[in-house]
Amino acid sequence: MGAELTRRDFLKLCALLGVGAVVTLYSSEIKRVVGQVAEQSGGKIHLIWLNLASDTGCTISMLQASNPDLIEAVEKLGISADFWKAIMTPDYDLGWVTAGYTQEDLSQVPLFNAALGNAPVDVLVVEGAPQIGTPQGSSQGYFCTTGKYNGSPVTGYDLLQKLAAKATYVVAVGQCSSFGGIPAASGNLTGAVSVRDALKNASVSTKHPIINIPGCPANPDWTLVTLATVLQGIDPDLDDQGRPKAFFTSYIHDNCPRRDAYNRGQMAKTFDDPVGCFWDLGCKGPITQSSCPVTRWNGGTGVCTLAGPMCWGCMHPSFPDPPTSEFFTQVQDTPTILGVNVDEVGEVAIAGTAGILAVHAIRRSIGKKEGEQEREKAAPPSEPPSEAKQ
Amino acid sequence: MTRTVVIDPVTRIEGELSLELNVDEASGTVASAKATGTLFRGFENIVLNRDPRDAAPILSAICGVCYCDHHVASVRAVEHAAGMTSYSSDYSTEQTSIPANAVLARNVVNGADWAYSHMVHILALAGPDYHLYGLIDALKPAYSLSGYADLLRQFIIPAQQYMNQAITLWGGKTPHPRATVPGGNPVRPTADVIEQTRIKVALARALTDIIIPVVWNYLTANAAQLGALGHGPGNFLSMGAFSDPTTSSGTDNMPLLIPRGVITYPGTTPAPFDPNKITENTSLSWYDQPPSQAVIGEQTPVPNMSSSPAYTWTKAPMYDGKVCETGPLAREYVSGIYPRLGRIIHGATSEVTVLPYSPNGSAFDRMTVEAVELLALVGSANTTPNLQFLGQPLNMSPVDVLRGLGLPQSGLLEGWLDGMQVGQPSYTSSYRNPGNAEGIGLWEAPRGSLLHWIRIGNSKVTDYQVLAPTTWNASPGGPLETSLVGTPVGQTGTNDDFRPAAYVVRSFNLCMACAIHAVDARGNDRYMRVG
Repeated sequence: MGAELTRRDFLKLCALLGVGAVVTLYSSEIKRVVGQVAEQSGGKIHLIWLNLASDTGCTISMLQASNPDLIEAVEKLGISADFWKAIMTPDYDLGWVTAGYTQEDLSQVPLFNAALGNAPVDVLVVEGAPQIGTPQGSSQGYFCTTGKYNGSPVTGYDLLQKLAAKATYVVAVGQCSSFGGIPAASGNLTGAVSVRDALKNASVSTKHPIINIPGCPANPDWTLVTLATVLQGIDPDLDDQGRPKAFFTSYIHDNCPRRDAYNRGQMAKTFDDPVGCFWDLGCKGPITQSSCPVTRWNGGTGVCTLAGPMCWGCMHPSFPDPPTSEFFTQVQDTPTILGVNVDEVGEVAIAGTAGILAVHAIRRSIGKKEGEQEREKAAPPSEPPSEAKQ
Repeated sequence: MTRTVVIDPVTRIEGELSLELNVDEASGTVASAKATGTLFRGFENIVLNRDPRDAAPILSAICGVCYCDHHVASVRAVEHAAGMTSYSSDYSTEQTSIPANAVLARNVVNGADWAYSHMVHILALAGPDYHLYGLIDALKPAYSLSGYADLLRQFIIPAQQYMNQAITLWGGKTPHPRATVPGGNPVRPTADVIEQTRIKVALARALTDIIIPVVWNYLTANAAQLGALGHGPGNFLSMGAFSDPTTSSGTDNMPLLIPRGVITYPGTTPAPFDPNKITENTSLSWYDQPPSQAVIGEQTPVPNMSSSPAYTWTKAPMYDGKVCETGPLAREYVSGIYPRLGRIIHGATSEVTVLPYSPNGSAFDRMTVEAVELLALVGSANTTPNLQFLGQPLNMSPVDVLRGLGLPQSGLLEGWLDGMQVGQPSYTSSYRNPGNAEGIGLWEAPRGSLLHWIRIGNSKVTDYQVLAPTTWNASPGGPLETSLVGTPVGQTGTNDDFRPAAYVVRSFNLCMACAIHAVDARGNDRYMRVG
């Protein structure tokens, strides 16, 4: 594993290699760096994990974190998870404490104490999409309420505004909070939007730019590394979608375990092809930016393009709407001319791509309809801004 | 004289639940309870007009805990619509044209999903209510545990991670492996992937063999107290899971390891299950639709919060006009496994004559069955005869329990791996979207019965209904509300006052996100209303 990493080296490496690669290569060093953060903070870091329109999958995903695991991270970062509904320990067990609370005694209710009282909020993690719609016969935001205050249900949208204005950092973990995700998909009735759009709608500004870690679910290793970074007081380098560039610059297709097959023009005709590239069957790897193939999932056990059977585009800003769906339809528009963003990919990754480009160009030319080549040559279609989901 | 206590949000469950308990001061017990689901997302509406195959990768996100189950239920509904899979007329067996390996791979994936979900529920969600079953003290001498964090780090987190890694081998990642598609489960069962899965199961087993006896002995030592809590309506429903393609009939006529059936109070033997007998009542739910509709063919939800006296997003499903409980207790009652466990214990001690401990179900029954299901899935190598009941030695080990139940010692997961034909396909590309068709996907999620129903028109989704386990259990007038009535409430002014209520609530392993997307019951036939 080489020489000892210093904290400064760690960040430099993240920038150079992408955090995914760093997580894979330097797991023990990361654990040590995380420990250094805790020393620096000199006390508890107050974290509120707020669930909005979600399925709790990103919380379950956090249980799968391996480098470091969730307990290590919480302990070493000195995190006090003042409110994390799904997995909070009995000491902070709001539900049953609430049973005895009085309206004056906010201190008994960690969530309200943080949102409406004086308790500090260092990091607000949002899992799930805020819903800004108004149900018939009710008021704005009532598709999701959490708790009662002064006898009335408190909407998730209201809690988000209060907590986001107060928090030092706001981290949107998962597809729903980052981009709206499935709750905000075409056909939804609830006005679900991203955290960014909800706060814009409410004219609430945050102390630091909102960090989006998209994915259904968010990769837990990236979430913990991002938290470790912001807790060092360093804003991670974000792209225009608010995503840490370290994880979301390259396309899945670029680093896909099946990439060699693609380079050879070996295209799978059925989903049980153990080797071939799934482009023709609808794989969304060519249009989805993420380091999934590098970090992989569940402690490095797998990734969707190996066994999933393909990429479903769950980190694409438009998931699950076009162009990620129809899922079983071949993607046509690629973000860059040949699925490789030459500007963004470092020199290491570029090595050997000359051959890739040639093979790809040949393959894409065969049987191509008139006009498609023109589209490929045109400027890359930018991914729809998150506003498009409203 | 009653006082109203609001518990909102209820923590350590999945999703948004508000509970209102009316406590009778004189008796110190819960007189009536109202369970309110406080989040609506509207999944059925979102999948309309999409390619039928696109429903599953979207609907898996109904639940971030039992993702494999919603996914496979949707795929099965689509395969049923396409004529690839069919049910026998009494719904007791299935026929399919997908390969046997695919059926087994789905069993492995969903069995591992049950196992991880049970681990998380027993240990991390409900566990704190039970002082973690004394696990920390019991394990301290051998494993130097200093507290909950150590227990999480050394046992709970790794055990559930091994199960999730097993799923990942067949599905790419968790949560939300979207690998199963109409036609099968594409990862080919090579000797390598089978062996890797076995290793994950063995690693989990090494941990559950330490944990399960401690949990068992804690629960059974408190059987009298826990058995008196959480009595439900006494009607139990199972929609069946884990079809077996390894009999001589192959995939032409597959029996179900977890059979379908309904037990109706005061009866104790299951009647055949028929999905056409399910209705959903919305008279107390925030929807604008006829108060009662058959779930097969039900309209997609129209939210409306102005309809009084509605108080929840959860609908009220009924089977043949009856409120039913669903979950591990219900299905292992229907399967006969749990009553058989009672006979085994009865053979070793005179303390209990029959299981379920309460004919209406109880906190004890629900938690114990879940531990036994976990044991059955992962298997055991533990032959130490230290199991007890009500504190009395049974002279039985976990392995003895499995043998007595007629279950494989190496566990169901390994059994399904054993049944795979290495190198043979686990996927067929013969699936085509039907033009106009309907399909039903019946399955059991870790926390109970799951039904997906799809209607396809012009090869697009034109109607969809999901009926999830917690919709049954947390419905207005449903098993959760019923079970809370009579629960003692303390007078100390501390959290402990509500510990018995916590036992009851968390014994259902609630998943509110699953419960609300949408559900119905017979309007005239007022269901069992409490209070």
